[in-house]
Amino acid sequence: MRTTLMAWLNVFRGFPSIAVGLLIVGLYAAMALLAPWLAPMDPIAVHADAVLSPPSARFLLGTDGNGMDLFSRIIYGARYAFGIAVPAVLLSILIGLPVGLWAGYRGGWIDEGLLRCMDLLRVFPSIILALTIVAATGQSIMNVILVIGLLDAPIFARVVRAEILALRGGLLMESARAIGNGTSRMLFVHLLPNSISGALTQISVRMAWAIRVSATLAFVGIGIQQPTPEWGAMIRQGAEFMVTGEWWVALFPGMALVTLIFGLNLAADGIQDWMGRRRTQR
Amino acid sequence: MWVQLFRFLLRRLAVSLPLVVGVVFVTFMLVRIGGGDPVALLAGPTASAQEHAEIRKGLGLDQSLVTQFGIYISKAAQGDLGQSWLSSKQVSEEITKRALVTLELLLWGVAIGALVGIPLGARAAARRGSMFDQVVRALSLAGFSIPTYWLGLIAILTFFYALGLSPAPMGRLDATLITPDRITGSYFIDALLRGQWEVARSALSHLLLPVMTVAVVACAPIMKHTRAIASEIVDSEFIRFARSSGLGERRIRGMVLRNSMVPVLTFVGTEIVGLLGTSSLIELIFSWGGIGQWGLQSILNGDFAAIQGYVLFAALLSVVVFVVIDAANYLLEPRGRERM
Amino acid sequence: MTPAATSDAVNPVLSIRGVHLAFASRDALGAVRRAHVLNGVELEVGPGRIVGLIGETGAGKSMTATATIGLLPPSAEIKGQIIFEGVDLLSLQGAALDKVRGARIGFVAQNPRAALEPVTRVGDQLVRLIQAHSSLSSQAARERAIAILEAVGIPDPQARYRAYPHELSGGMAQRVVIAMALVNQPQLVIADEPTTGLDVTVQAQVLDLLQQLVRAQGAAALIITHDLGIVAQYCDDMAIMFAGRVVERGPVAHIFAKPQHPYTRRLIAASRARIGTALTSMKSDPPDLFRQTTACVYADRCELVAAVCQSAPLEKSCSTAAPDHRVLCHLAQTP
Repeated sequence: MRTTLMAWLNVFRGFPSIAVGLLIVGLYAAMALLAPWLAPMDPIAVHADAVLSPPSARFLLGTDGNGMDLFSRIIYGARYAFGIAVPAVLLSILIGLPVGLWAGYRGGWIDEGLLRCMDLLRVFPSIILALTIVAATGQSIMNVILVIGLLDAPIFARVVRAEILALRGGLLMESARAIGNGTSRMLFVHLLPNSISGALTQISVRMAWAIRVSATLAFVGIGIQQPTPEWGAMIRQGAEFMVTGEWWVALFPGMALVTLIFGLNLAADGIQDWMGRRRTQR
Repeated sequence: MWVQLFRFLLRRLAVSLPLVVGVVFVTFMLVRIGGGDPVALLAGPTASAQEHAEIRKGLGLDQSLVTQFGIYISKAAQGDLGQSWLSSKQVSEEITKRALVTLELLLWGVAIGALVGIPLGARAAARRGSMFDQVVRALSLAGFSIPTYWLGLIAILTFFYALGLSPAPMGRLDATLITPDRITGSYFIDALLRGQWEVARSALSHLLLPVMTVAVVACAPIMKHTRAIASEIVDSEFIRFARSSGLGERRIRGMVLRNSMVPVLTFVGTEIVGLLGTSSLIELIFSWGGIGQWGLQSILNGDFAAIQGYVLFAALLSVVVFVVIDAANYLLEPRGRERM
Repeated sequence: MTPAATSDAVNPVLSIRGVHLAFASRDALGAVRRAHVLNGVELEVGPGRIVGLIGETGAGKSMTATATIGLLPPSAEIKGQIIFEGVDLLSLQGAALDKVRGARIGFVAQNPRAALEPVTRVGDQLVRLIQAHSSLSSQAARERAIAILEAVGIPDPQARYRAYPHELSGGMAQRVVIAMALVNQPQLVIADEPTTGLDVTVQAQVLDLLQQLVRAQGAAALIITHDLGIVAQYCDDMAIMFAGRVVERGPVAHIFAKPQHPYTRRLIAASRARIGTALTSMKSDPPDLFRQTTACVYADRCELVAAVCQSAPLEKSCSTAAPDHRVLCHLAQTP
């Protein structure tokens, strides 16, 4: 147990980006979980006397156009960020991993279909696609999760497929086959663990993406709306007030967004470096 | 070679068009299945059931979805993209009016982003592990993490509100000035060409913030990718061999540049496609009046034909960009030619 | 046509003296590990002589070449001297080093197709190399390039001049690489495993070509290989490396007749056995380069091992029968 801990600490020492990134993400996750205890006020409570007031002792980050406390709203906003990103990424893994495994291992029409899907997504800026679909199919959180999850699934599928293709000709497959493994055993026991490493980096990246897209959707006015304390929706409202100088309404939610996304990207970058270093040393 | 290139491009187009149709199909179905009912919008609250039915028939909504799609495609091929319910104008007209506006923003932004990002990325690759490299990596990571619209808002706050350097984010020109006669569709260029310095200056000052926002967002991935590509080449066997032949740092740098150009430019092309969505948001914030703003508003308003037009435009633009990239690859990359 | 001189003591072209090379790195858990790749390499290449540098994988042959040609990464920790034309190559950097390599020292790379720049025509690459080291006009350089292409046996050199590297076969590409190594008439040619990846018949052609051109120019050569057959057939002198040290060196005929070092004996026996019937077994564990020792590194595998081998330092080789046949072994006696 102790050596595992030592190993982890050494990884962090060699790759500080992983440590810092995970720290940031951890802080936000804590924020999301402990929101009711951390937030000083009810996020949707209206303080009619203090509409659009700048940061003060009473309202640490000021209030927005509805008189709601920004600080509390930002803390609660973490819930929405994770609440959308985590299920969405889980969904895309759930769909993408098996599809990628099958496409890489068996090929055939699933593989073709996957490639066509990727082509389609490539031809098209995904934000616009997400916007259109969510707008068209009804603007609920569930839909946002579904859409993001579906749009990201091919990426996971492709990553896994690439790893499997790389492993396919290799010794691992031959020896496992020679011992007499059936198909499903091949897939789950042998191939899957070895192809995970690529997917791991993607998890962090995709989560950053999911948070970003859901905020963008809310910003445009699709999906989550006021008075829900979602960061994108808050920026949307804040946009109006930027021109008149009430800068805090859009600035702070944005900073929260940027920091969390940055943390996720940083961790992803670090994981990729670490994986690369491990691979060259094997 | 040119004949082969032409044939190759034709093949690429032939492959891409079904994809475009596919994208439009998906959008078509989604918008109609899930979206609101435009008939009620058009008919107004006092219309009778009969009038509803008539409008429905007039819009062709009484037929099956597949038929509707077929009609749409055949009309689209002839240039008729339907009518926007909100403005009652032809969708094709709306698009052509705004296309160049969006392209101006997009191309300027990507150009500046590339002009800054590529040299920085290349330099970082040459000095990997150095402080310069760390800074470049951190910057590109940060650039990846900033939502474009928020950056635009901050820019407005800083340069318009706080510093008063930029004009209000309302459109492309001061309201008091007359737009120059149209040559290219770009206010800035047209004004310059006609010697209208005042107008040109105003157009430029309005261009600055949105273009810089796009440039910053474009710069980050370009910088990161250039660094990755250049690193791979710097580490490659042939650069090693060139060093062992005493070719000298200057020539080696030229080799690295020459060999990374094609993959980097290819990436910039894909960035343009990716930035279509982002620039739409910028247009929204700055009231730019381009296709992006129009498209987003159409989505919010459930304007079927307009949404489809927007999607079609984006898909076609992507195809054009990819075909151009493929052509560049074909011309500049000797290795790929046999495969093609 | 082998040069008559058997002694390389008179002004060797290349003299490697006491070179130690180590690489420090962090493993996946962050600890520092230092690999000692070269441990006191002593090697000389006489004028006009072809020297074969032989050893198993990881013995340090390629590293020796890399160090000579100045391609070590900045993290390399190197000590010692590599003297070429009176100058210590290890002290040269930048432009001074670039003057030497490609002009005075030619390098034949291991993987010819990978060594050539993919987006430039082969002829243009040659011309670039010529012009980097001379002031010839493009026309003159072009002529010289075509001439050398012909000399390396490339059919229709005018047409091949315009070819891209990926259009050439492996053997053809290797000829081009040889052309590039020789075009500026170097004094020393270093060839790092020049036949890897080539068909057996092509291997012979390439080696014949290399030997012929080197002799024609009166240059010296250092051929790095793991194939004793190549050394036997093409080299005048040989040096055997093990775990970063040269354990034996001298004229090929001598060493084959009377190998002094146990490792050399095993090598020769093993390759003779490939044709014969008796198989000599070799302990297969490669030496651990992270363990540094001043005593004999071969002690663990040696059948003649004595107590002195594992305790006494072993840095300077001693002569045996002839002054130019040297061996790094406590037990080798000078008769």
